[in-house]
Amino acid sequence: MKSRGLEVSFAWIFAIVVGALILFLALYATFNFISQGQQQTDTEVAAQLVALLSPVETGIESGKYSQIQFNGETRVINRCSNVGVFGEQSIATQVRSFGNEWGEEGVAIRIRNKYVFSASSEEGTVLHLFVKPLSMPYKVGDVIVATMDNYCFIAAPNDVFDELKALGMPHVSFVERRSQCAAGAISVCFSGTGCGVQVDLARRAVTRDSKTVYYPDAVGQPLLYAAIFSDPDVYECHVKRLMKRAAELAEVYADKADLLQGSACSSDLSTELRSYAQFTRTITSSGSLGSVAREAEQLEDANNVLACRLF
Amino acid sequence: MCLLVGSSRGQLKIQQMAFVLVALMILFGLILVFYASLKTASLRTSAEDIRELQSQEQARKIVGSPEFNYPSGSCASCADFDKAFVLKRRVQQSETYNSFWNTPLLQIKKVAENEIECTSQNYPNCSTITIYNSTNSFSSVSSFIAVCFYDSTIRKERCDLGKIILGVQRT
Repeated sequence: MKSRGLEVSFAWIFAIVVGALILFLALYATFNFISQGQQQTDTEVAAQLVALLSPVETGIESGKYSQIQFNGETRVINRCSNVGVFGEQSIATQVRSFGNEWGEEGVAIRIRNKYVFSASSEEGTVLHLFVKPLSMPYKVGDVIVATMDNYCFIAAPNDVFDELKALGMPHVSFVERRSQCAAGAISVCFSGTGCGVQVDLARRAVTRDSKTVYYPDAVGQPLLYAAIFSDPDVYECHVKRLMKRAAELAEVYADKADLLQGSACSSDLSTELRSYAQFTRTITSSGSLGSVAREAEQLEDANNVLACRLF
Repeated sequence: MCLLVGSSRGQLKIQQMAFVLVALMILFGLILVFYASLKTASLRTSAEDIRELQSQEQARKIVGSPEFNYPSGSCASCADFDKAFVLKRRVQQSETYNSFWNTPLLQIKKVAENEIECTSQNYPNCSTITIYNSTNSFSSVSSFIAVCFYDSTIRKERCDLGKIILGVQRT
């Protein structure tokens, strides 16, 4: 008696091997294609986000609030470099893909004329944008504060309360005690300790992640909000970039003063403006902002008495 | 003899199958190439749309930027012609402001009968200040603005109807 084993013809073996190869190639190509598509989507989201940042900039307004709604949960990556004349800001995004995993990071969009203060990585579906122009003593740029987190301000000064309440920012709540803060919200203390963000109004300092940064002016100024809502490293980098732009603008105003020299509109501010440019260009940290603010105040006083003001 | 016939029939079947598989591969490949070209075209269109949208917003907002805004502080669409001229000279002298606004064309002009480019010799008796003008091909967007400057003949600040023109890079 002959036992009949499993007979598989060569044609079947060939079909299985080639079929498996084709299947593998198809799966590999599909996987690559999806991940490439994901990266394209992320790049598009970042480009759209940057395009949407232009309308939120201020004209003659003193402050503005707006929000950007994403289609799905999105991670916004904010990088800053202060290399070069104006430094550079780059924004990249990541969108959650299949299996709740973060997709590959899209190509970063680089911008030189915007200053987005935020955590180095924000995650969520709604990006809250709060924009205020920075004047030192002329408009230097718009401070764009971006966050996806909820914040709880404890015992905030009246100026801060009035301004943020008037803008109707839904992600910022105001309470008197820390225990009243909603779960998950980042607490901001204006007096007392134990909060995620600590504001020292007397020293004009903000401590976050054990790092202290400084803002130049009284309460209600854009850099106070920037210091509260952004990572200290991002804050320091953008402060340097803003000071570099202030320096270039001082040169532009000095050139304008020279251009108008001899006319009934002439001024002698050119020298002061060029020395202000030298000073602001060499700022290495936010700790020097107090001195910059004092210099700016002197320039503003000199400008205000001119027959036709330079700025 | 029987074995030989069976073997050649088997070979024929393998050849048929290989032919079908190769044909299938080519078909899938063609479909993939077609899909990829469609996807690339739509990506290019959407990138251009975004860039154009960005330029239109920029044209409206650039006048309010510190490099162009007029000192009075009460006019969001008033450009300072003096500052624009100074900026043009700075761009010509150094590369400081190159690619700051990332646009191939940036022009501020007074609406005038004769279009005269401003130079150090004819300023302020001119109408157009071209800050950037790339030689590459691009399309442009424009927006009406007020162009303000100090007029030494009337010894007062004066505002004229003007335009800001921005270039949009084509890929």
